[in-house]
Amino acid sequence: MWEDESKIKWDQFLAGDNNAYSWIYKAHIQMLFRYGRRFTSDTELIKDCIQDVFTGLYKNRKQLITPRNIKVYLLISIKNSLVNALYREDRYTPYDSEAVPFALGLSVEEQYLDNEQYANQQKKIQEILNILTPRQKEIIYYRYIQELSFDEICTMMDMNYQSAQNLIQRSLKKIREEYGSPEIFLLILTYLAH
Amino acid sequence: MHKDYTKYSADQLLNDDYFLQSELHPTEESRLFWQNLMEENEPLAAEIEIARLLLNALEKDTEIPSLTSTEENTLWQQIEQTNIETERKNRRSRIIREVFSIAATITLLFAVGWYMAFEPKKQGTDYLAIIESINIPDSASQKVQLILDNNEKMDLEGDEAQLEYKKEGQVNVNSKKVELEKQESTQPAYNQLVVPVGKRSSVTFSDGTKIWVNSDTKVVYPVAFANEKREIFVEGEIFLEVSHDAKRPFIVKTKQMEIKVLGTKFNVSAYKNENNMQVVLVEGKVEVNTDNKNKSLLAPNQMFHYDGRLQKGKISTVDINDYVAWKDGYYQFHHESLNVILRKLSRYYGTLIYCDNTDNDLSCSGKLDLKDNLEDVLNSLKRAIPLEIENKNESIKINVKH
Repeated sequence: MWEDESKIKWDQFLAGDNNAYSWIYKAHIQMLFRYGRRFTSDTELIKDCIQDVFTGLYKNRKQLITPRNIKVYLLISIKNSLVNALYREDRYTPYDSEAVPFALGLSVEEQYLDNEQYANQQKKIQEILNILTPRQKEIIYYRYIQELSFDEICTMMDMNYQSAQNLIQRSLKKIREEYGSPEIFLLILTYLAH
Repeated sequence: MHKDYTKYSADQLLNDDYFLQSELHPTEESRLFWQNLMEENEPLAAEIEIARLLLNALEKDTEIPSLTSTEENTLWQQIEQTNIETERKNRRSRIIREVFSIAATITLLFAVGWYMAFEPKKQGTDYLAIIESINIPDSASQKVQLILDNNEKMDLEGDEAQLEYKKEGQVNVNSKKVELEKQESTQPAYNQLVVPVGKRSSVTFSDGTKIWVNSDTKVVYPVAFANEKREIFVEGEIFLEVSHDAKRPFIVKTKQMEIKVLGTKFNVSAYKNENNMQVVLVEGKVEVNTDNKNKSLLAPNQMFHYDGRLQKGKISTVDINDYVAWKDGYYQFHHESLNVILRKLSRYYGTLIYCDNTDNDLSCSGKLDLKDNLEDVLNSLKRAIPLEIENKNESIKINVKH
């Protein structure tokens, strides 16, 4: 629905409708800003990159086409802009995609904050997440937080379907192995349930 | 209808679309489906719990601080501002491109009118584009030219051609009515007056304002002034007697200055290749805005002098006749440098007069009657400064005697 509306607005924007342009900004700005925070804590830099992306769209709107997926298109644009600003001083040397840190933290549930078991469990999950490579974290983020399809993830991460599948498979396996036997977790869960 | 999940482990579940869909966007049906599976199969229930644990443990996007609405708005304003600048730059480069392409064909087609019709609203840049697309012939044998909105070029006879736009739309040249083809158009139509060296001209507009146009000058103006303002563009030198109209300010634009008045008499000198520009006020009040964003108000007998290279303006009190007498057929100078005088005479008579030792600091005061021919004028000048006049082919060389 959201994506469909974005596409209509995008077409209107390309036809010269500035209200549609403003709508696209308002509809995506918070998502893009938060996405940027995964790569850096420098909020000013994120804002600069968002500005570059949107003014770039405006400048080139006569040459643009409507992308298959607006959200993915904007996420990629912000990522490229940020990565260029952060790590690619020499734009002709390909950067190491594994080297770009990606923050994937833990949800904090206020109601359990005082609970020691909960705290231990959080610590454990954090440890597991920490053994993931940035790229594995990124794919988990796209899959579970942005809820992108595999096709979209392939586009985002510039890889083919099989590689994307393999990457997420490996990440999940790693997590699963670190959890240990399910029985231990059942105990934790039973405890939490009370 | 669903797969057999019996042997699924947590990581497989996490990679399963239906499981994810059920977790992230549960429905009553999906909730019941997984609940039943968990009751039937304890090991699977454990795996499901682990998968859920991971999903719930991940920091949600909504937990990351977002931009405040002020930040969001400020950023939007910056984006819009940048876009406006981009538009302006695009427009400028488009105009420059237009001008180049037009300049290439202009000698054949005189496509200026078309150009003006094409971009009528953006006048600031528009005027310059029009002006720069036409060459002023540098020979005195050329006639004063009127270039009409429909690209048509008209020669105006005489050294001091007079042009008059009547209120009812009639146009007179040297007091004789001329037939100009009327063009029905929603766009404002522009005319351009091109006065070469050695010639002068005058234009009376439909509102009664009269301008005297000095040699080597181009003036662009709308055939009929707009309702809210009267605006003309000039490159070169003109003297104006603006008829008073409080509702429609009269604006003279030059490349680097904009002079705004209600009704007054003043002289504007802004030649293309000279860095020194002047506005000299005879009567009334004018406001001068320059490209360094400064605003200056002039009182009568004051001169605003602008150095285009340094972008610096200065106001001083002057003898106005030194600057405006040309319209009455003479030049008057007070301690004016020889170089400036020779440059003015070159323009006026359409003959290049040059002095080899330009770093001379000779200056001169007095009057030169421009009704006389150049030889007489130079002879008058010779009485004030010890000069030797040498006639070259088309030009005159001046040697200063020491």
